[in-house]
Amino acid sequence: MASGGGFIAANGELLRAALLESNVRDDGRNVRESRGVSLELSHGFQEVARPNDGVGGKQVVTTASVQVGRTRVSSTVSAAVDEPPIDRAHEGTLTIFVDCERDLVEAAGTQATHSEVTGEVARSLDQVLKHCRAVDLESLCIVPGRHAWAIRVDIRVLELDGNVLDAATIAAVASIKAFKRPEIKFRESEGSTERVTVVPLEERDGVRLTVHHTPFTVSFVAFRKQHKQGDWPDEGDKDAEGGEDLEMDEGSSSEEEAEDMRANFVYAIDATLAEEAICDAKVVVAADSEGYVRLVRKYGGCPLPKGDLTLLGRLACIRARELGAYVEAKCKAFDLEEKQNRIRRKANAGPSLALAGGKETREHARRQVLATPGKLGEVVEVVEFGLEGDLGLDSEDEDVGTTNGEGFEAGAGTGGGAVVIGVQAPTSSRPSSEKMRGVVVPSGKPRGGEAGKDNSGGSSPKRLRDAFTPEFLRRS
Amino acid sequence: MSTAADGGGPRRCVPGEVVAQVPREEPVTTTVRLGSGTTQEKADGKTILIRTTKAGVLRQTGKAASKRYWVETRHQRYVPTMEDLVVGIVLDCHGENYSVDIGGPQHALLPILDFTGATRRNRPMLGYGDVVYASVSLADRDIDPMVTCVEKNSNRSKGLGPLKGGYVVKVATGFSRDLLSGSNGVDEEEEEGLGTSPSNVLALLGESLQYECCLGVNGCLWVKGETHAETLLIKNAILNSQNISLSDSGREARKRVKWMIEELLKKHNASTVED
Repeated sequence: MASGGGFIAANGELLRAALLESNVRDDGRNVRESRGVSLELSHGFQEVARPNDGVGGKQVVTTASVQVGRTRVSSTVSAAVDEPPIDRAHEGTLTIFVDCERDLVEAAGTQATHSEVTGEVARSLDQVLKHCRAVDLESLCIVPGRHAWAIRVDIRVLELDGNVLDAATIAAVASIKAFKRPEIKFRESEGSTERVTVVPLEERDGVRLTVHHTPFTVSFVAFRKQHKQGDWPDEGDKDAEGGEDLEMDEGSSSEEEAEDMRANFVYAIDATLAEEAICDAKVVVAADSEGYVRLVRKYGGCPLPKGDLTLLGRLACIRARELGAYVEAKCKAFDLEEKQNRIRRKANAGPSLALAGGKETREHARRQVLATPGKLGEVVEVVEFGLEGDLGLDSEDEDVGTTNGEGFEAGAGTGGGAVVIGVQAPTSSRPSSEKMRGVVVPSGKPRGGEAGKDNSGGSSPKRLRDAFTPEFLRRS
Repeated sequence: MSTAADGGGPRRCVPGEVVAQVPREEPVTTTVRLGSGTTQEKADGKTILIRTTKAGVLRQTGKAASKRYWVETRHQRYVPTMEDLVVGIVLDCHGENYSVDIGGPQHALLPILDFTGATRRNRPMLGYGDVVYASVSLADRDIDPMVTCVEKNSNRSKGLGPLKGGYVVKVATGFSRDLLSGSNGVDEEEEEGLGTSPSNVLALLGESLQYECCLGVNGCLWVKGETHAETLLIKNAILNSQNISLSDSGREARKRVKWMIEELLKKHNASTVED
């Protein structure tokens, strides 16, 4: 990408001229167009630093990766039980950390330093999420003054091409919305002390964080027409440039506003790195999906007419609504997927098998299976799903003791969609005909013909192994 | 004379291969020019071996009497080589030299009087961000490279000097060499036709737009269209085609590049009508 100090210096004039004269930007957009946004949500495991806080060694975290144009940001949310702040005994905490490779900022070649980039994002996010009360902190309190949830949001900038803040906000909001903290159980107290237990997510579905509103920041860069150093517009300047401004077509309801908007500024949404480097001023407006402006920030640069801020607020509301709908839809889809995965996991064996990361988890799962009270072949649920991918069950899982791999393998082996009638994991071995009453109707292409027979030494892997004998290699 | 098959398909090579043998004669009749990725080595008293130093596709142009060899790679980093034509951005002006970013490991030096027809009184005044088209006049591993904008002993003007009012893009060095050999041939007796090279985006762009373009082998391209908007369109088309020509080749790539340019033009026209 054309970045780096020299490139921005060489191309800045042209970019500015193209934007002001013909409303064309660096990547061919016009000033009202945003770059495409893509969001991906996932669950993962994370080691917890303090294993004695009740959550245990491993913990489920939610990650959202957002790509806006060429900018990529990921946000990871995790929760831990901690003491509430001394001055706010009834509240949990929400902490936001922003991390960005130093090289990334240096390679970008703009004037902004590493700490400026991260600091700006962290401060804005803090204001948007905490100070605007987007996330309800009081509901994070477990025992006032003693226990409260500490929610940690880790923002990581993976690639830098302008507008990091917007990408970071989308990532943070989406991950917070999709995150579920473990449930809390109050044990009957001996004496006066209450015992608080964290129920692992494998045992019981978690609890969502209370989110009052979903704010999205929308960043604008301002370009002044007839750029002159040190000559900012005053009252006389305003009607110098005729009424041909680009802002005019975006609804100007009253006379007063129209007067203001005649100022010599062009505002571009969702700036790229080069545009951020050459702009005259930057404005960030945070609006939520209901259409309320939550925050207006202006970072340095030249003074802007106040009427323009109303316009930017209006534009931000429109954009925030779009983003809100997108994030909402993504979160819902992710939820559904999770639910189906959950049911499928339950249907196949014990919980958390598909999540199986390390050996510990599998050990845990085995214990779970052994402990699950269930009748033989009891049909728990009938689910229909069309999800791609592996269930995370392979022949290795036959060591879940009492359950035979065959049924699972069939379920796991279907690459495409399938209708599965889930069966509660049996607790003792049974004759093979009754092992699994699961019906598998593969609708996609099966992954391998021998899917069910891996434990009896499937023929294709064997052949594959034969293929790499020294004799074979010598022959070829 | 040369072991490489002339006119055959592209030849892939690894470092260390001998690609040609040139006889050492007393009256010199053949001129062989070595581009990036090739080196010469004395075999015995009679012949000189030409070896590759990089992995990539071996390219050669010219007839037997004056031949050029170079290896096309996908390297991002430019390594200065003598007489390479490069596009650079002026970063600084010291007493006698401009410091120019040519995408190499070090900044290159451009003497302030190394412009055609420049005198102490009358010389181009360049500053931070100005673009120059220059040729490398000194390339060594251990010292800063030098570039020059003087066209010496050539009857044909290469147009070296400051470039004004365009846009500079950075692409992979291999891609810019591709563009050079594909559509804007360095030699008149270009072997490859316009239609065969996968990256004939410049020619395809030329069908619908008028523009100036300056290709540096260091991966810097300077483009200038009739309007600013067109300049940006051309720049975007070139950047997009870089990804297309990496994944496809031949006819398919050409079709895609054409389609991409049409889409860009459609959008461009729509936005200009709006204004």
